[in-house]
Amino acid sequence: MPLKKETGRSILRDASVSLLLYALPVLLLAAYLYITGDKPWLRAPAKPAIPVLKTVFEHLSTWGLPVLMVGVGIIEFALRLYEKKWTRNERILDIVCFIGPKVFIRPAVVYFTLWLLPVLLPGLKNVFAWVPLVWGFLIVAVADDLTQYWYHRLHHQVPFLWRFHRTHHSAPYMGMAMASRQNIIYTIFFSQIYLTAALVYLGLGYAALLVTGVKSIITLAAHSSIPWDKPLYSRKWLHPVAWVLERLISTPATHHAHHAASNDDGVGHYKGNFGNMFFLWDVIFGTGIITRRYPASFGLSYYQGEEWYAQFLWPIFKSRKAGSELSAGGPEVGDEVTGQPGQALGVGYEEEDYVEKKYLYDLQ
Amino acid sequence: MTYHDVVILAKKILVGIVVAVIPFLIFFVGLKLIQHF
Repeated sequence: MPLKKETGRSILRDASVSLLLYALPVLLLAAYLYITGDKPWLRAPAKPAIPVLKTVFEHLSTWGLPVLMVGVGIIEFALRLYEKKWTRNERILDIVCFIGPKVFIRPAVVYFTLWLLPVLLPGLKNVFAWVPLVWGFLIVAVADDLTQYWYHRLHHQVPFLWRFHRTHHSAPYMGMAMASRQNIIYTIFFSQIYLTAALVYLGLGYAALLVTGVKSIITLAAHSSIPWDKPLYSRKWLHPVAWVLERLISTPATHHAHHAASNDDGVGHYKGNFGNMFFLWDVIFGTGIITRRYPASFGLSYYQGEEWYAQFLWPIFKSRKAGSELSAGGPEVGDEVTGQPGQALGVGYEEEDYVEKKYLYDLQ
Repeated sequence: MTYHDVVILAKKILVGIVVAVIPFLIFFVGLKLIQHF
């Protein structure tokens, strides 16, 4: 199935803008150093100003996050937020996806960092260790999250990539149980993991530790079935906070919309809202719909409950379900929604529709 | 896995590499240039 011309054009246009967005923190750092006259590369790199913070984030990135995920998952389960949709097949898939990457991906990244990077970038270890922490944080945040935005968006918009990401969207529920649910090949080739590893090698390790810690908390909270953002919408005095937050980061409302089974309820937006830590990318590129409601149902409307091993290991293993995207000779994209809203606002999208949909929450 | 699957996988990996390498070059060249000014 070929890429639609309109989609291809919007990808090219937004990718061009992204080059500027990537360069922005570096340009701002250059301007700052020029104005202050500071040349931090001429002195020894400063040690972390708050060592406790480093320790906290180190623990978070090793055992902290998995424990947090299991803890929140147990609360969700106790509150019966999965209803009766967590079947045996879904349970096995979610557990394999939770454990598998920790066994395979982490060693691969460590191997990549320790062995391959010195070969690819000889003599460049810690060459940018002079970058001040605040600027390093900004650089890694943009590098990691904008790259993941593009990786994610392309898997939705480029037909031959969709089936590598389908597993994340097949769950008919939201929550910790499905937060790490991905096809193993999608996870292994996460572009931002390798980009961030390279930046760590170049000397931005402390900044990367902070960014990935903050990012993991935001993305996990956005996938949780506990709507932590709800109080922000129900209390009028908190509306300014909500206004800023829902544009800046992924919230349960905007990210749940991305996992909706349908776009027809005025809330779901499964062909957009691609942001992970920052929702800002969706705002800039017009791929987002900001909602303060939650979809009625999640997953894929045409989901056949494909075998867990096919979802985890496609295309190595195929599904036996006839007509499935994951079956041998199955279609690249199972649903062909016409007039998809907001693939890119302004591209085949009426602003009136957008405004109408965006402010539905005001009418509640 | 069929030949077609291998082709799709190769194309997917290539896309992933491009998505990672372009920003890397921007950051690397940008920070190197700062040091030379």
